[in-house]
Amino acid sequence: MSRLELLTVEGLRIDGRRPNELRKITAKTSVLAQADGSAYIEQGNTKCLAAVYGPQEVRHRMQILHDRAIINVEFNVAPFSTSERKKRSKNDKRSLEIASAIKQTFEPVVQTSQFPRSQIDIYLQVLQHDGGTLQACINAATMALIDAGIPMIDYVCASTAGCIEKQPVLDLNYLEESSDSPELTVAILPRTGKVNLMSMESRLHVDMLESVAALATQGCEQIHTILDSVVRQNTQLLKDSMLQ
Amino acid sequence: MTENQVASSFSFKIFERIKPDEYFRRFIEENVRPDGRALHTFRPTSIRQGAITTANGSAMVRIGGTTVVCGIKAEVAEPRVDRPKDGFLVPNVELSPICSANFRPGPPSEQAQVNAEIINQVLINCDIVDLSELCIDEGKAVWSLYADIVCINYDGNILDASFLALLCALKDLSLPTAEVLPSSIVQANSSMMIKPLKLRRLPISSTFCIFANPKVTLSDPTDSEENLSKETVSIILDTDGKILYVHKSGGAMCDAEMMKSCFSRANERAAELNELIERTSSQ
Amino acid sequence: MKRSDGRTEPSQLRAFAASQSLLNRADGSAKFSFGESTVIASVVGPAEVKIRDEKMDEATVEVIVRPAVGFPSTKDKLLERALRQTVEPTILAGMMPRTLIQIVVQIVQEDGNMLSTAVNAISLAMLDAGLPMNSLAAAVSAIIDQEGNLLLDPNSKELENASSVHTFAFDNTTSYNLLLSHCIGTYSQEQYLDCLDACKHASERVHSFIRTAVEKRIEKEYQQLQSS
Repeated sequence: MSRLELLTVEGLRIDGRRPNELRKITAKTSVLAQADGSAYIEQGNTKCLAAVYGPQEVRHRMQILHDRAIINVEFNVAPFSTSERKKRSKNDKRSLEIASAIKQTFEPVVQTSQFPRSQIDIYLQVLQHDGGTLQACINAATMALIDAGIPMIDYVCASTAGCIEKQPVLDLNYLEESSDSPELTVAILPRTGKVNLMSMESRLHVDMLESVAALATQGCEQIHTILDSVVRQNTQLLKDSMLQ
Repeated sequence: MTENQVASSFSFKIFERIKPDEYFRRFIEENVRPDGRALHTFRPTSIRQGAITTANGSAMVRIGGTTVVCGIKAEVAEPRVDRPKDGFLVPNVELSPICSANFRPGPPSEQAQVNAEIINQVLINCDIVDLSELCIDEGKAVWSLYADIVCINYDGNILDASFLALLCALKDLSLPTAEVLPSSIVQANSSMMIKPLKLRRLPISSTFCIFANPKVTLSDPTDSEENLSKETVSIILDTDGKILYVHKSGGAMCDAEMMKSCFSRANERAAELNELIERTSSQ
Repeated sequence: MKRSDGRTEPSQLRAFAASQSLLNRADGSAKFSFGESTVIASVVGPAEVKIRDEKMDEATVEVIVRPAVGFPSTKDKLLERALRQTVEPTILAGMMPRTLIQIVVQIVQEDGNMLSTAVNAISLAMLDAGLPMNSLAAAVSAIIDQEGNLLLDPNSKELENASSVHTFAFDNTTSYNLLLSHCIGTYSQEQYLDCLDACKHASERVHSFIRTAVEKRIEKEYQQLQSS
């Protein structure tokens, strides 16, 4: 089989994007009636749903922390979301790893010390997978936490970037992700620019790292603008309805 | 809002929390339900087919506040020796904590397992699909369809929603044409898609719950109504008015007359949903 | 007409058999058979309940089904829920708040109608355990075969030729209230109501059988007491 052409001679990618272009993002909040806060995000064909419950009573007594709230993250992939049906149990190692990465990303951002002896649950459900699950989950969780009205010091915005034929590219889709190109996920706090999460599981030359990271950071900022405008729009609607 | 209004709006919320059955009974005495529906009306229902592009067939169904997504993935499997032509259709229901705070993370709950089993038994016993249509090569390879029904938002009546989602996903299903090569490798040709399964009948589920005091039957119960009543009746009909499945349990209030009225409501509901399904598939 | 196991009437039930108090570690137990289909049920309770399942105003009823061979499957889960919801309304659970009533059903031999056999076994076992109850559940199954005949209490051979299978449970109050209806297959509303009616009459026979079984046992115990 011939190797897939991921970049055309004109420098366009397999789905027609330019190297520094994000996929289309659609974000909605308050999509679930049962949860305290919820969000749905589509980044291209990756679709992710987040629900936040809490702050509420801690379910297991022994986990109680007397000075702050604990954050509990459950990550679940719908069996039909990937191209190969895989029956993943909730406790498989990969899911646990992603859940713990998300938990660690949010722990320093959520003002947990305001809710001692309580628990905040973040449930994530991937409905369709087309690359960049982790970033979509982090963005969805941010929106759901904001929707739930849980105090945070800033947004957490995540984006991926990779490197194809020595050209840094932003926001990899499933095809690009699975064809051996390195993928770096970065989550930042946009106001201060602090890096909250950086993860890469493949090989990338150290000379490229800086430019790839810079591109991912740029992506995070773009995502921040989009998410922020959604939140502002929602708040405006809420304000209008209250003033009526 | 004046102060008085604020106080009264708070007090009815508190009333609902501390005396849910009494709160509910006062509504029922006025022949109306807390969400404004009449006793016999079902919640507005909508269907979207093909919502998941990674699945071979999919549908999203909303019944009021209950939302479920059904995605069907096809895999090639070896048929059973005693039925060399028959493929497999495996339904599975997932009720994860994302859809309601009442569900705990962990292994599937009794409710999820029971619903999957009911769907499975109806599929097997009621002659809905012909599994031999899933045959690729007799005795060598067949399609195995995994129908995963994921609840996204739970507000009661999961059986009706799951059944409807499964049906619409089956209608949406398309598979690549496949053949078994002499080297016993199955080759799929995804440029030629076919719709392999024809539904022989359209099973439509309607669920009711029965209150003891006052004695009333409610169509399409919500989560809070399900929690307050113990007795439920589920009826699955096909569009010719044949009954496929009746399950009633959990109380002793229901008699033949009540069952008859449930049947006629279920008949109306089946006609209504049949029309909706037709309209969705023709789009 | 003659049925595959030699019965002559479509409305004829297979021979009942029952014995009570056969397990000495449980609070109540009973064995019930419809012909070859046999089930043992045991009842423990009122006992301590897990905090998670505790109900403040009534007892929690739990039913566990153990199949004759292999591990419990989702089929048994369905059976568990149906059995629990059938017998729950007959127990005066409000008299035993914050306790657990645990019912274990062991399938011994399968020859059709496990659901109805299990309901009858549980009823007898609950009587044996002396639980406060307001009525007694009794269940009977029926099928409509491919030719449209209604056969009561089918065996597994007849079940293979069934176009629909119906199981009904009734209590023994004066109005014979319907406790459970579990019917699957393809059938019309008239056929459903016919089955309901036939099973209702047949369940009266099961009720009177349970009554004689209990009476006989008490008589025997009384005689033993007198002779000792």
